[in-house]
Amino acid sequence: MTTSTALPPAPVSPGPRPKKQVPHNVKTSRRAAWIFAPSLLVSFLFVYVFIGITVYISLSNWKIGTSPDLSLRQPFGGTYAEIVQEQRFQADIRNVVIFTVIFLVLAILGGLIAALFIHHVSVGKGLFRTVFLLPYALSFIVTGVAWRWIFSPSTGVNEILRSMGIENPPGWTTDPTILGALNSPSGTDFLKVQFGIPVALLPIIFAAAWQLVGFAMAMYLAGLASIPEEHLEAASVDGANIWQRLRHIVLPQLWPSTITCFVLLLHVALKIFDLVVAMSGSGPGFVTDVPGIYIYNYLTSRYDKASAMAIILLLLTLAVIVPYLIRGYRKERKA
Amino acid sequence: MAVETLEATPTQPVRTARRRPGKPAPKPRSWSLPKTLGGWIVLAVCAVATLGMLVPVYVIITTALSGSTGAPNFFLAFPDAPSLDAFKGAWTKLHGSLANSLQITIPAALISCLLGSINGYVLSKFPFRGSNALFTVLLVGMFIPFQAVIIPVFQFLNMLHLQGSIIGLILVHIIYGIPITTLIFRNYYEGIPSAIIEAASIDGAGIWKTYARVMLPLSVPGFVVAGIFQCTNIWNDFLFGFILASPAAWPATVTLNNLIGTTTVDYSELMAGAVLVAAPTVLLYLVLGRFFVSGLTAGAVK
Amino acid sequence: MRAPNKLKISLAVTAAASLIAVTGCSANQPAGSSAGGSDKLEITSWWTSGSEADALNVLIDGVKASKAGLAVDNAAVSGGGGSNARQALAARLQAGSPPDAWQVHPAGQLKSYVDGGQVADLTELWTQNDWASQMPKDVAEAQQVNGKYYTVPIGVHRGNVLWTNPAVLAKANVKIDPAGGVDGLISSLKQVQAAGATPVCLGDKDIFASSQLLESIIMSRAGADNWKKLFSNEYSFDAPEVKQALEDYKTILSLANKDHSAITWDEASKKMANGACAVNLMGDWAYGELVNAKKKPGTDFTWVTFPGKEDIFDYVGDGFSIPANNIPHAEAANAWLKTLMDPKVQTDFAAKKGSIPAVKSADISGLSKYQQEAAKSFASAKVVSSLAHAQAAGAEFAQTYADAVSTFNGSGNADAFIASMTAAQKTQL
Repeated sequence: MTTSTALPPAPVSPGPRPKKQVPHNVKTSRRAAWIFAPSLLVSFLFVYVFIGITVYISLSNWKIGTSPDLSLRQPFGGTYAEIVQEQRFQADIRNVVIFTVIFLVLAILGGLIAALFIHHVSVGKGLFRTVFLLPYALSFIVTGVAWRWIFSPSTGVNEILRSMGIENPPGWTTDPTILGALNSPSGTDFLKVQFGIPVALLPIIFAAAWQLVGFAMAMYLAGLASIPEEHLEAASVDGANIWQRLRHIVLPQLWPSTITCFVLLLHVALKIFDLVVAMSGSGPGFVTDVPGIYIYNYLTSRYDKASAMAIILLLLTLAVIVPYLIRGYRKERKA
Repeated sequence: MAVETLEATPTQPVRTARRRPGKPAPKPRSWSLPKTLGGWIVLAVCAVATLGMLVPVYVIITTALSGSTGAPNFFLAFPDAPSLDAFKGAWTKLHGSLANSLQITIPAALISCLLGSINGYVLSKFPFRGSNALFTVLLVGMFIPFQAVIIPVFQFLNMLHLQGSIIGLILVHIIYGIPITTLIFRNYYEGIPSAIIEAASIDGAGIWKTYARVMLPLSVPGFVVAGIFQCTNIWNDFLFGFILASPAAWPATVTLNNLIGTTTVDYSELMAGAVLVAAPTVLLYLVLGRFFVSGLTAGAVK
Repeated sequence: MRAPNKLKISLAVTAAASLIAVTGCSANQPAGSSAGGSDKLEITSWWTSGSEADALNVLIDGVKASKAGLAVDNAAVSGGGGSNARQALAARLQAGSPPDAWQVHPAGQLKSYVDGGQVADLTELWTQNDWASQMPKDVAEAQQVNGKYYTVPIGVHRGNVLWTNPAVLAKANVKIDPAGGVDGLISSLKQVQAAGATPVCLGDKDIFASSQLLESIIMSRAGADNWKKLFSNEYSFDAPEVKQALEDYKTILSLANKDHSAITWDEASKKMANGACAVNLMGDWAYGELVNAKKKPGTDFTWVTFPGKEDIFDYVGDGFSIPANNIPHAEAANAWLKTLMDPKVQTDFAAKKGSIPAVKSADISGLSKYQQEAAKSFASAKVVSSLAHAQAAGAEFAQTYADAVSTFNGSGNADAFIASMTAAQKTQL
């Protein structure tokens, strides 16, 4: 797994568990611990220790891979100070935030609506589900390749737009326009990018939403299936119509699914790399550049900058994941 | 033996293990056409949405069939003279790396599933003090952006002289696959009543014997779910292959991406390549989709 | 219910197993696993497109002819204007399993490899064969870093060539006059636009096309000497000539095809030759590509020296280096280097690639009219190194420049460009 495409199964807390009836003597427990230990150690090394190393590199003077200069850069954290002022860095952060927000809205809403419809459709449920979830089986590269073709400025959807009379359809991933720009940077202040929605990101967001709406749908379908029929029947007997049932019974019960979808899709969105590389690369003026690509580019010329960006990306991810995992862990302890 | 009577449980471990009030009655399978206007509307919306979702698939296939006439001028057009030429070209360029992908995916998936199964077994049946906390610590590894560790991983593989090789990639995929397979198996095993384990230990079996004799035979659906999950994710991986593999060891996704990189993009060949790269996982999904879905939702049902 | 599942599963497993068995035979070997010996040679480069691949094959045939029984592994990597290849190479060098030889631009690009101690010192080879005397001084100098030789040149490319479409120009009744400088160029282009044609074809999907255009304008405005001084921080990006050049670049960009960030450099050149626009600035590797695409020089396209006070030759060199450590096949690698310096091989290579041979003794009489003119120009014009191709400065500075150009393309903010370049001049040179 473990790549940017990977969405772990919803997870962590399976809910109330059957009481343990397995012999709990100390010997078995210790043996069990020893069996688990290797995986834990390896994971500790490959995750935590390596992250630590990356943090160190981001604080050091190591620029090119072949001449490691592991002395600490002075002033401390100088690399971070250096990159936050860069136009490219700011563009990346803007892009990944806009991407994540719009993508989450599309995928989660789309998944919810799809699940609601498919849950209630009387025939063909299996077919619809299969089709919606099919893109999830594809690599982001395959998706990127297909959607690149669909949004190609000369032969793609623009042909449809032109036939509808729109003279100058957007250049999509080649378009440097930023919609709704809130500022006009002078180039020498701290803020060097326009904050708005880059047109070039839109095709990428659609492609990502297409790929992952099935996942959200599957989560919601599972959630819908677990809503007790009795609640809904009782509500309709009480005179509630569809919308009221939706608002007061269904949606609240789907809240755990929503949280799970939100967290898992968010962490994929923050890490996005393959899809952007396949669809557009960095784009004119870095309108489609994302932290993942920044890191990759600087792996050949500036290890320290690449590491610093990687740590920033990690912190953004952990800000959402850690509370989620702790919540799951606490739930399990209660159970 | 106890195994016989529990046949039903493993296929739906999540559902039957839950004893909650208000458990929904299983819906009867209905293939009937909609009876109300609302029902027809729902059906129509579903149908249209599904067709919409299939547009990119259609586009990939038709463009791939454009062959020597080159990609059509309009992306939705069906080629006048469908041919398989593009596939021939794509196959020449991709067959080596498709083989690489296979060589990376199968061993990595198998081994990480096996390790996950053992871990899941231990964590769910023989929890020790702090096992939950440690498991949470392990899970973090699943969520980190891999760029945050790519440099040390690179240096580490260098030290072992495995950088650039297929074995190096397999190793990396196994290590970063353990958290997720552990999760899948742990959730799966939660659904197997501990009475079996107790019975086995009364019969005198230790941890390993119980695993081999009792759990493993029951684990087939778990292996299928975790296996499909891992196979799909490792086959579709790009980042590790891109950075940690040398051109001779590139998986198919990297070579496919390189087809874009050449000067003028030959879209029909590119799409044919996309079909070749997507085919195995799509086939896997179509044949074993049920397990795919239960992998996604394992544990989501509360 | 179980049986069908089991059937499916066992089918899947059998299919997988048989696939492995079948494709296992055709799988590639991981890099570095081949045994040492003198009968194999692995070359990496980013020459994957039509004319480039043909030219590379000339070299491969040449080395095979010189060494019987030699098997050559062409490990060219496509994509990103060479950046994918350089990334893959960097990884292999770090891992200690380098190829036998790799393509490299001299001077600046070479410096990073020298600093990392990864590239072999070829000074002995050079003095033994007295190669320095066989080529122009500028070329020989570019192959050195700190007085030692680290690479062997195969060809000399010119980065600042203005390719033109005679038909489109004739229709607009415009002539591009090099003596008219950049101002003259811009007014000619505007005339073309007034006549209803697209003046400039640009394909900067790989940003180097833009950065090359900008550097040609800067060179033209500032002059060859000032250009060189940019890289010793004696001349600033803040200078009025550079500022003027940035404005010129913005103007020319506005006169270019709107989809320039969507198309690659060779697509743009071909569009120009097909009549979609009047001019296209590209290095003369475009010549090789255009001829490969069956375009006729002289009729479908022609060329003009980039307008300016003096004739400046923007030198982009092609050459090969070998690794300093862990070289898999040292003998074969040496044979490769010697093949590169064979005058006949240089001529044949140039014929396919569009460059001019590096050695003076190579016969250029059989090469195209363009190449003969370029060779004359190289001998008489002022030769400077290209920044867009990371030759004038190291990798980091070149990346900063590329990033700044990309940003400038999007924002048009000259102050921001100047600010990042002047900062880079202070810290990265």
